[in-house]
Amino acid sequence: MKKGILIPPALWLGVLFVAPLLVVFVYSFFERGTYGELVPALSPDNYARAMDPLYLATLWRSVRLSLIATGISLIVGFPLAWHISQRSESVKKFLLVLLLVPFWTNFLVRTYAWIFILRTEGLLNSTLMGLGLITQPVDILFTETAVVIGLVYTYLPFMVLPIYVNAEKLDRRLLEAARDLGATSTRAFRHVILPLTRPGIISGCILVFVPCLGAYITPDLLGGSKSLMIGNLIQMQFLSARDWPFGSALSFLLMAIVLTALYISSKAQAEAAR
Amino acid sequence: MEHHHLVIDGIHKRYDGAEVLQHVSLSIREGEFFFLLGPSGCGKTTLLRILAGLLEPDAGRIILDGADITRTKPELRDLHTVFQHYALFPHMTVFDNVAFGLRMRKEAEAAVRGKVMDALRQVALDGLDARKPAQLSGGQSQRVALARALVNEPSALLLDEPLGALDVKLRQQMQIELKQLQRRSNTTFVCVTHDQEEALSLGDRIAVMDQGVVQQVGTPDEVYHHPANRFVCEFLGASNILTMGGREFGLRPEDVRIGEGPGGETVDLTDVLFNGHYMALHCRRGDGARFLIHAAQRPEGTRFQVHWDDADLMPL
Amino acid sequence: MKARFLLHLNASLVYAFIYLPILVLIVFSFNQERINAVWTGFTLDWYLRLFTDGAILDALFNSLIVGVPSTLIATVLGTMAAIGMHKYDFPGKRLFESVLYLPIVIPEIVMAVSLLTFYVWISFALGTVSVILAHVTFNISFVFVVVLARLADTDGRYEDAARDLGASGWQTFRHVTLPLIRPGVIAGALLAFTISWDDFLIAFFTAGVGATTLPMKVYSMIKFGVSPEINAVSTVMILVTMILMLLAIRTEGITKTAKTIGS
Repeated sequence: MKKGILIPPALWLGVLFVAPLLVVFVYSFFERGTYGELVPALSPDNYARAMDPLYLATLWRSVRLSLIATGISLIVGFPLAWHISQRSESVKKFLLVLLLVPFWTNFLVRTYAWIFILRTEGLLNSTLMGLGLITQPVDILFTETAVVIGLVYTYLPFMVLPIYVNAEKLDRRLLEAARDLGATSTRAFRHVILPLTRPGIISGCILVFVPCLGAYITPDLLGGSKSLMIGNLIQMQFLSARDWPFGSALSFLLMAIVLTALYISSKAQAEAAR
Repeated sequence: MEHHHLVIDGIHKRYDGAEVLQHVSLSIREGEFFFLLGPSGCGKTTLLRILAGLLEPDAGRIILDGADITRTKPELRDLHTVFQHYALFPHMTVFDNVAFGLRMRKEAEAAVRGKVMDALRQVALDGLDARKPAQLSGGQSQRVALARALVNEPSALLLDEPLGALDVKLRQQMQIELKQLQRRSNTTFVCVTHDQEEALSLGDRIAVMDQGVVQQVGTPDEVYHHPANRFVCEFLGASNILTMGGREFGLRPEDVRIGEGPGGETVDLTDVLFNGHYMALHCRRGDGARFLIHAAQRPEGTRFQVHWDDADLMPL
Repeated sequence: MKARFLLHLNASLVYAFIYLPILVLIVFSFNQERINAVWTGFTLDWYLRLFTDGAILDALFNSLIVGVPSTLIATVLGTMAAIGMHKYDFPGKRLFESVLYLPIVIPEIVMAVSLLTFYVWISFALGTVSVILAHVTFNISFVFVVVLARLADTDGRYEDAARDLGASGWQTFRHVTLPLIRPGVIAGALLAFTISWDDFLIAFFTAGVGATTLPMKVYSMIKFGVSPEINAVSTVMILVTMILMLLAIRTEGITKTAKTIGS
């Protein structure tokens, strides 16, 4: 068995993954011709354009919504992860399977479910009106709220799992020792549980934040034209505006932000491990 | 002239900047139960892996039955290993495990069946051939590992701390079985251990190693009663080190006699530990140095005379 | 204790939140009423329509044509990568490792866009093959992660024992290594198929005319307007994915799957 075993996968990834990314990088410096063709140039114009307030607003919205979704996932997901980790073996397995199985159903389908529920004639409004709680339908679909709901719905397990793995390994005796030494529940939480689950929390946040940033389907189907995120912007450059160079620049910016976030988190992980 | 079955000639190995084996040379005779004895990190396991072919030496040769096998691949060497934690293939039954080597050599199934059942009978496990390793106890796993290696009738068998994972009672029982197995199969055994009791009770000859260097090679009697240096003396059982006339001498605690005698001294008793068939008397000599005595009974008082036979002193 | 109660409450609410939309979807796929989310009666009409809708059946077929080959290729390549990375050390290993993990981490839109650009640049016709190639590319990483996790549990001792007993490199691989990682390889393959089956964005960008996959079809149906047909398609897709994942979990064990995802 030689190291040659690595060559086929390496070749494949080199040609079909790395090379395309390089092509995008090069294209980001090109310009769009009058009829939408590519004009080879070496201008950073596209990147400058990306700094335009219009686009920055979209970028900011992406970051903002991703942060909100991450925050909600953390607030809801942490207790859940903790709760599961404290149960008995068979209950743990059951709860985990229960958590994961819907997660593996089609993304589009799950997003569509929320359209079905949140639209004007959707289930939510029908139920609320039917119960007499409201007289006018509530507008949730095609707002940022809907996008956040969709994002949290999609990525919650990514927050729960890393925290769960951490919490499960937590030595119960540490908590007992803390209690024995006089710590109240809140104190025990702050000084024992929280620090020891920090690596899991950091993982979870990154695993939610990064995909949220690059989300496309959720803002597309649930957000409408008023709640565009970067992913939608990029798609528009490629399919409607036919401005591939600009789209490439935006893609690369998105990649840069993602990689930066990953870098920061790995530093934070190294810190937490000390 | 003895037949040197397995010759280790100037084996040298460097690892991570450290000299793990320093020009080690040993000659092992056919049919011997040979031990490589030493503390952790002395290089004994590294040497065993080099013998098996799983590691390549930086210099030196390995010669088996007159043939230089230094560069031969492990699967082509006529040596088999019993690994420390047995490494029984978890996805195969006991039968398939033992049959593995024979099948790799493409032996006929009928012959394989006969040999495997024979080998299992030799280690008293013939009823368990359909079991999986996960269903075996420690002692049973060990025996399967032995059968798996011996069924291929190797020129020599390499054993890496074979009894380390067993509890005391089981270990003692397995030691006897191992010795009998070695005699019956008439195979050269090269065994690695850090347990000097094991080496002393089972070995025909022992190579004591420390820090990649062979300190002494000899029969158990030789290394115990005539240690070549301080390390060997202290490693093989308890000892006292006496400095007399600028030279160091070793003295075994069981060779110390209580009472008046020629060349004796006065010692003060500090601790007494009961060890079953003897008492360990921890004392202090006149100059404050520690002194250990193994005696059948505890003497009167805390200060008494001791002496020894000069013949029992071991120059180091 | 109050904290206990709150934890239970939170857990129940979260699970309700997770399952409600799916259940709603399934329930209303049997609803007679077309537009409103008001229950008017039970019917299997929408499912019947589904099974006679040529476009949907075509899309289903395409999803399989893309899914099966891409899963097979990705599983082979991903397993090779895992074995190589587990066993060997070499200069640039960390860099290569990063490249292996990158497709999982990178936003799908970036990958979709880069593949489209690349295909156009080398004038590669968009069709079904373009999608298959794309799916293999990201699935190699997923298979790699799963198989590597399984390999990490073994420590080479069985390979040592096999070679010591006379097995050649190839024999060792066939009789010892492969059986030991088989559960991981199967789980990786199931995962890869599920991801390919579910993929919308990358297929959307790299598919040519006539290569519409099921998720692409569902997307266009959604864009066109809400209808219980979509509920019906969704229900079928949910069932398929759930079965596949339950199989994978059964093979690898739930705790292992959780840990693999967690890392």
